[in-house]
Amino acid sequence: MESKIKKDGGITLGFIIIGLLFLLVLSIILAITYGPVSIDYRDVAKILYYRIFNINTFEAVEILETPKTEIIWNIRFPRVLMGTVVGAGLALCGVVIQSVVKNPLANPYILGVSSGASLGATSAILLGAFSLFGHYGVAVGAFTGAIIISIFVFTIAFSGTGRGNTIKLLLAGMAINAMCSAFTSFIIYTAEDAEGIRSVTFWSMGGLTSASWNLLPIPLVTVILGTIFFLTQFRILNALLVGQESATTLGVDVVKMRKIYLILSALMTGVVVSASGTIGFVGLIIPHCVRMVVGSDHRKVVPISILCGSIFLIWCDVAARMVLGDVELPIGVITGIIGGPFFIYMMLTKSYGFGGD
Amino acid sequence: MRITVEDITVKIGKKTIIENICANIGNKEFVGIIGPNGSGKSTLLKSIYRVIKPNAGFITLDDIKLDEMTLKQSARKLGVMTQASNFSFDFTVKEVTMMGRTPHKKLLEPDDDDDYKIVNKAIERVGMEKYIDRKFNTLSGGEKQRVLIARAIASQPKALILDEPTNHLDIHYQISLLDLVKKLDIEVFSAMHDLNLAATYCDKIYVINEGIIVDYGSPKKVLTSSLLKEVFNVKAIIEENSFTGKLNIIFTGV
Repeated sequence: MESKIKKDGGITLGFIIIGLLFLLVLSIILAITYGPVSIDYRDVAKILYYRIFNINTFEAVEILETPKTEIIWNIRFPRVLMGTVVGAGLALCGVVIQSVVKNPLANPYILGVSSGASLGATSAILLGAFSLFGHYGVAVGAFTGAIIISIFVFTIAFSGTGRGNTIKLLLAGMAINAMCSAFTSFIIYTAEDAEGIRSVTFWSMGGLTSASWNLLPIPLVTVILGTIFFLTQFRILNALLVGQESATTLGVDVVKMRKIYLILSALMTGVVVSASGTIGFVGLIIPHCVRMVVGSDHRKVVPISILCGSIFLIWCDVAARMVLGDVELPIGVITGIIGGPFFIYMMLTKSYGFGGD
Repeated sequence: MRITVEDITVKIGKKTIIENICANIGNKEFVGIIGPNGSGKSTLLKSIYRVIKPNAGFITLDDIKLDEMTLKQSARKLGVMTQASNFSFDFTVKEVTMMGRTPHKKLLEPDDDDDYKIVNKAIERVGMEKYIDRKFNTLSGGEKQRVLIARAIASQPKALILDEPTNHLDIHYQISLLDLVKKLDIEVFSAMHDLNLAATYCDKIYVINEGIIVDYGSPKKVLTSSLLKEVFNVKAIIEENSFTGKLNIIFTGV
């Protein structure tokens, strides 16, 4: 009688997380083996191990001087790490946003981040704005656009009467998104730079091509900090999901917490998107798939979504690199092609309500 | 814990919903509030559980003003059960009940053995132990209501607010819920629809009509045919049951 309710939270969750961490490391190593030059996974593991732990044995030095090391360490590893970070960030923001607006259709881009980033990036690519940041002009432009537009969306949603209800936020996001897309289309339509137009298209579908050690630190640190913060917030995220009134009676300052979470999500999404372009679907489907399997409790949903988002995006990036042989596909094409049908499959086979009544 | 409502007024837009309401709940009494639809019962209760902020007046819990407490502090003292509705995302019975522990927990604090014991016991008290892993949204209205009571009990409140607690419940669970709440031995302030149940369970009753308290006292003092005619616009015969010593209200028409 006594232990009818088991403390499943602890042990089972621990196993799941350790299992997923193992899968993540495995995915990182295997993903690095794919590319124009195929590299044995044992070599990948060795080289990463020697470099990361700074090992200087004779064997280590020998293998570190091969060209493989250059490919692995300077090209593929930062790219795979970027995939890990971006996948984790988008999945986490998806979880948070869905809880904050209590709407299963929500994704990190409803705050206007993606359309703002696209507008910023397009201006950078086609109009040469932000050129004083040189190589990082597109990233800086995207981030600036993302932040300005999400500030707009917040200001509209939280002003006037009714102090920021979530439907207003969703609608404000939609309206601003539509306006930004119109501006972006206008810039693209009037542009004559064919190469630029192609890179805008590529950017707006997302891709990890530009990933490098230089570009990695900001998204990495942002996503790690975001992860640490939101792992501590599971009780409040749960309370938000059952509604404003219940959350208040459970001692949660709903209005304040919603604002904090929205601002942090917008910042995190903005940073991630400016590094990778607007990769669709991850922030929507990963949280749902995780909820279908483990339920809505954020003790489980937050860490599992982060890990699944990383693993999912790493493999989507492998597909983006490999499917067409020597031409790289935008990763958004892959996430859509894989994610859509998978999502429908989950919908049809699992008894999951998607938050409908 | 004593709850004192001092002269509160709530306006929504220009419309005054409740005006200059005073109320006192203490001595571990079960205090009911009755009134027709739209009379302001819920608004008063919502002001106490801090979903609505009164435009004037104040509320205290054991002489401390609500405004001087954080939401977390007041949530630790005051358990609240509202009417059940579906959640937009599904939680299990156990997870919903565990939410009752929210106000007692620090940021990173995990659920410990005590929490599980408390949650276990709360679920047993409402007779839902066979349903712990069921999804909340798949339960019937009455079962949901019982889980929400378990959540309120799990927060180990010093006083309980019930907003229409027995809606959706069949007669067995209406009575067992009220018995259960009465046995908690804490102050209870509850909106009541069924006047016979109010007469049976309440130690004191506030009668509210059009946002104003029109009467207050023991059921025998308050529940009279003239008051029911005036406030609820119904005709009723009221007699004392010789077996229970409580009032029986028999409605005879409008």
